[in-house]
Amino acid sequence: MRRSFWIVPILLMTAAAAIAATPADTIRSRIANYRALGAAFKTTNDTVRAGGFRSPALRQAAARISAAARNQYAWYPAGSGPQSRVRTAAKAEIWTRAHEFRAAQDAFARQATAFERIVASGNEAAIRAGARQLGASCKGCHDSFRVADD
Amino acid sequence: MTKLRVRGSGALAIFAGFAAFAWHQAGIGEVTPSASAPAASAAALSKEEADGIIFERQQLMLQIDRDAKTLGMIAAGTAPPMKLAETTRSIVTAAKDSVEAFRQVVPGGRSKPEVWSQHAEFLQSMEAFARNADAMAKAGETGNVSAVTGLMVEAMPCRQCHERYRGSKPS
Repeated sequence: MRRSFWIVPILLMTAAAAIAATPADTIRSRIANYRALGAAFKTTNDTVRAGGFRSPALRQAAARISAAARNQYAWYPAGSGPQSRVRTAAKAEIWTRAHEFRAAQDAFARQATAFERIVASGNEAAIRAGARQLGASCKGCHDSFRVADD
Repeated sequence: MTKLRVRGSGALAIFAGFAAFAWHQAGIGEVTPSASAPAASAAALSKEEADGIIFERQQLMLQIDRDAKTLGMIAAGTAPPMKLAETTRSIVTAAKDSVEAFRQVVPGGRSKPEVWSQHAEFLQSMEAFARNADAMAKAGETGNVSAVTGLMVEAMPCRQCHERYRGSKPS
């Protein structure tokens, strides 16, 4: 059989797998994504503190943050909140105040994209300020939509 | 003339004594890091910058919390000791970064008013934490779990500090 014969069945199987993902799978994946995002943010802060404004590590961290900011829109399908009874730090407000949450996601995406550009410039003062602004956008979302830690 | 000289000398001595007393009180030459002027104050920062600093502080504390849990498991023997050095290094790094993060007067997060009204005292506590964490990290480099365990209580005064300086979790 031709290879092209298998394209449709593979696409259908992939779609079926995505549809079949349980809330637990979604939440687990989301947590892993945020942990990776947190690690990239830590690398950013550590590198800025150490003065590595032109380091590859900082550029890579900024790129990871920017990619996460673009991908995050797909991390919150319906049913993956507290009502799933799976442990999650995502507050119900993400879905009950969806417009506000979307605005917070947009703010983060804008800040992350801007930060990636700032890092590419190598401008020390702009990078320091950009890292703070990025943190502020994270905090803004966390304050409203994330259960506080411990 | 002699009386004038005596009175003048007396006045000079009193003035010199007062100057010496004032000099001592100012603590010139005895400045400790915690007594130096804060790097920035909230009044000079935008809300965005302040939020960025607060978020950074929160992330540092979360890192210390995660490392403390790992260290606890290693000390309890429920986790292998391979990560002992890495974990104690991470704690001291975050402790030192926290000192700098809190040196800036930026109220917010879960910091109680006492952090800022008793800022010098608070920073002394943080600096002691960083020093003791450094001693623990040096022990961690040797791979000796017992040595690290012996230093943990002094190096990780989390509860005492939190009771005094950290507000309750927001609902």
